[in-house]
Amino acid sequence: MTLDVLRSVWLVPGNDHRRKQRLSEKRTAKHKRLPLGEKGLGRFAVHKLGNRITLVTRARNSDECIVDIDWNELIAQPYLDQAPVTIKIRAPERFTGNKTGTWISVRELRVDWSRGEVRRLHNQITSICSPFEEPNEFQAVLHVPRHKDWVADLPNVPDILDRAIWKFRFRLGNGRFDWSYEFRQVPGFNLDGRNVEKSGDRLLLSPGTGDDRMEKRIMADEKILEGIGVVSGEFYVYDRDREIRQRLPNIGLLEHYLDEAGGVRVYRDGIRVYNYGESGDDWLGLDLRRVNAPTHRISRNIILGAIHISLKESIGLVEKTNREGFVENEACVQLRRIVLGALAALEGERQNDKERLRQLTENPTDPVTRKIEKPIQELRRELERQGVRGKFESYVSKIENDYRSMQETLLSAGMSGLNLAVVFHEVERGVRALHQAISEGADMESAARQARDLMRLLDGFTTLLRRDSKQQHSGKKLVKAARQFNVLRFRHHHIRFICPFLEKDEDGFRSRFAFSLILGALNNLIDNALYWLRVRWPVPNEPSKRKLYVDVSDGFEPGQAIVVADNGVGFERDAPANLVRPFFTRKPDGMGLGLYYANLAMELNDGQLVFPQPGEIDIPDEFNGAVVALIFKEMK
Amino acid sequence: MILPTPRVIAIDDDLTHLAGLTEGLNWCGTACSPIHFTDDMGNIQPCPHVRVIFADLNLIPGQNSPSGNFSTIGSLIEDKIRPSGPYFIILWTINPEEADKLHEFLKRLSNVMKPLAVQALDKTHYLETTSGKVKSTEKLAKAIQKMIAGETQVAALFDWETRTSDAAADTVSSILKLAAATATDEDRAEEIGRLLANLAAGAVGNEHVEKDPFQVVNAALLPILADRIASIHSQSIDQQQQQQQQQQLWQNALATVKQTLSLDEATKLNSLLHIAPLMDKGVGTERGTVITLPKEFSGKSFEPYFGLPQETASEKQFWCKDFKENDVRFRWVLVQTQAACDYAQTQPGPAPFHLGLYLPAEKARKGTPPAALWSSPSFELQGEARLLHVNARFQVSLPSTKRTDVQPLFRLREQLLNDMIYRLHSHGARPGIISFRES
Repeated sequence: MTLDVLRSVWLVPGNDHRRKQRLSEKRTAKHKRLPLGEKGLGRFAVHKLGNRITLVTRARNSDECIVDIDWNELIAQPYLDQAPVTIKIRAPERFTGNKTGTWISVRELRVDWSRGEVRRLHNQITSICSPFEEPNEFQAVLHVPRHKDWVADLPNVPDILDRAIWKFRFRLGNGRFDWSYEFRQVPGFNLDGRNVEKSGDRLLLSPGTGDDRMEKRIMADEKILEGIGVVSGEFYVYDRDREIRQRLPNIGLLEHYLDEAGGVRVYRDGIRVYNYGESGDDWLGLDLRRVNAPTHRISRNIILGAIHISLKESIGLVEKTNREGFVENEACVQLRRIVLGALAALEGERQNDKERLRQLTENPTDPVTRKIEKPIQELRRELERQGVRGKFESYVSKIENDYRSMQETLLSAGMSGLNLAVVFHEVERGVRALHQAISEGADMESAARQARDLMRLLDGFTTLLRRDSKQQHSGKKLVKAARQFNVLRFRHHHIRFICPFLEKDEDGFRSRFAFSLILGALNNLIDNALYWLRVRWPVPNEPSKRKLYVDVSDGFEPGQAIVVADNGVGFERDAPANLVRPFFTRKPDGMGLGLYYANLAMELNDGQLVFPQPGEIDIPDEFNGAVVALIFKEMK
Repeated sequence: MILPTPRVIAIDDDLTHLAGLTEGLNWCGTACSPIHFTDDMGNIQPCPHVRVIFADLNLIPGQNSPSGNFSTIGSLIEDKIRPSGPYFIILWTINPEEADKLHEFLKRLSNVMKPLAVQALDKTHYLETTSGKVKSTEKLAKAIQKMIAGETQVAALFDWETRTSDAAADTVSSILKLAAATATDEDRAEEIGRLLANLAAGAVGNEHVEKDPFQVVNAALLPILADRIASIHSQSIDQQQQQQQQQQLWQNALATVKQTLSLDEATKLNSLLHIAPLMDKGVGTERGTVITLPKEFSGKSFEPYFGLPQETASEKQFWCKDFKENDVRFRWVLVQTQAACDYAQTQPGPAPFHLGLYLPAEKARKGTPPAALWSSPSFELQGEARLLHVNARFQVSLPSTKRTDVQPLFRLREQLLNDMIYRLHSHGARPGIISFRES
């Protein structure tokens, strides 16, 4: 700094010198960086650390300037004008020759620093610059000369990153979503790695606050990047499932690091924006989001992520003075949606490899013998400890009850298969995830919401399994009801519903089934079609290109079928076996239960849910998206 | 349908939950029509006057999407229930947080009223976990009452509706009581008929009863009903606590409301109070009807008949500025001003009409209008604020043969009509005296 900058900027609180430079895109001479800083207050935080501060600074071709601040003396003066701060100028002593720079010394520290605090400080300082991108440009180092051992054994970030099982990189710019996915070989497992890359993909957005549940903008376009600019990022994801972790070396160190530093950080021009990704911050709501789908969703303690934005382009994102992220404006909300959308893309791809891992590690326990008592007990204890048991008890007790009731139903009906082991396992993990989130200080309102969702999840299953009111019904009645109950959505989303079957006089086939269960199944197929049609045709043109076809087919050997087809994106790369697996989804906020329920409902009614290949059945060519058929058992 | 359609309905696919809710409502004295949602949707009848719909959110098991659940409820409302007036929805659900989203979703409804508000009752708070039965009917009932009362202003209007409905019931009871006093079980029906016939004859005369029996009986019962409505407060409430609650409800409903009205609001309120639109039964050539000026008095015939050109009449006699003959915003009309009893008894003779001019509200002249002029408050017509100016000095009579081809526009309701007729007649009846002053 020159004497002038020192005097008129550095010593002036609230100076907007940096902000102006940034807005006028004035870059630094040496490193060509845009200046950081908004409010001109950050540098004053140094005074919280100690009573004596000395600053030595030297600009090019200038003498050294020294500022000595002794708070003991300053504070003793009754009036500000009696507490001067003097700048001394001297021939260079610290920055000799051509050296330039700034050196600040803080002495008479206000508190004693413990080993733990220094280690945390180390993590903070080393994460100021992105360890992921442009690592050579800028480096922050913490030396602790008198206690080298305090930080000697701290993990090296590149090593930690290297141990991730999944790696995902993405870039969103001009409405294009490019990404690469890598599943690395896991030590001790005979499982091949897998790489997927996609350019020009669609980034599906998680719903924003107040969204009419996926009824509004569901895909990122150019407009969403206004005030944000290009967003890129990388996620390193780990697996802490018991079966995996027990085969990994040195897991303690890794887990400790993840517990401390897990989360998704934000970097602007390579410099960290606080407090995103700090241990107390869950800006993406990852932990609670996971309660309902613990296997599918990624929580903070298994991810190290970085989001990169450009300082020049992200003018809509304004940092708060208190270093608690960006001001909650439209750009900030959209950034969150984008990041969650990218994360969902990773989760969507990851679920295939998670399933492969599960198959290798599966412990074939009978779902009927699984016990929920312990996790429920622990959850209750934690709720009691936090003094919120009353608020949660009705949900917890319903979860416990429905879990048992589901087990009893399975036991009495002798049901097996149906992927229910996964469901039981997931609920158990959900209860544990809720327990963990609450014990780590999650917002209670959000936690209660997640508890309700978990309860709803179980309630859905128990209701499904309890129903057994099979009667004879006609296919026409079923399709008519489905049309009636979706007409508001067809109208709203400009869906052209084509159903030749309903235009005919005959009732079509008859079969015995539980009407409302199968209607729910059919509605789930329609719900999926509505979503993916909007992904394929984001703008509802007139005449609308979004078309949904429902008809009856006798082209299946087991019996008559209702075929649901659309001209949406189709199932792309997912195998039918995956599609009907519980919790398998590619929607950013999907539960992954729609097709699973539909399949379950058909099985419970002696029918089948199948995914015919193109040409396998006779439907108009234009319906080249998803095709699903509900096959009914023939009446004898 | 002769019997009244339900005001409160509850829909659930789970019979135990439905029964629990219905019991709760019955406990607080509210009749609720339970609808068990099954595969047979045909059994759901229209409830145009429904005021509260209790609905389970997840009516179709296994339907996994919130929008799908919203759409099911929306379709039931649009296709089956078809409410024609204001109503609330109270979600009876384990997902109370979905209430706002459902409200937003239901903005898509068309051809039926949209709900005023959507609230939620959390099933997990009121139902036993294992049996699904209501834990405490009293607690549930109180929660429902609190919820309705929370929408203070609408709750107050619903209270008024209930009271007037009670007043109608009271009117019917009094007629039946009167008949029962003089009848045996066997001839009760005949006795009631005789009583109604007498009431009708008393109102319009024997010879007019058969023309439109409903209208004449209605005319006869109206004063009794009006009296019951006016006095129902003191008659029907015998429980002090309930009375206090209702008083509180009304005080709350009005306390938070600023008593200011914009011109637009005032105009709309005046229309509601004083103007009967064409769709109202009774508009034709009835008393108070405003009709277009027949050809024999309009256009070139205006001046020969009324004695001055339209422009002069509009400006000097009807206190209107910028009148344009072919501008649809200005219109010469006739208002039927027959005496009430003559009209009721369809007495022979041509019916009297007064000439009026309706004009945009801002086109009324300032200053002191002629004493013979009566001016209506502003009311809404064709989306604009209008005034009706009627002059006592301009009258015509139309025999019944000439009244069949007139075009009725709207009708002045009783209160405004009486005000106008009183003014017109007082002007005609005002005495004039000859007096002398010192000069």
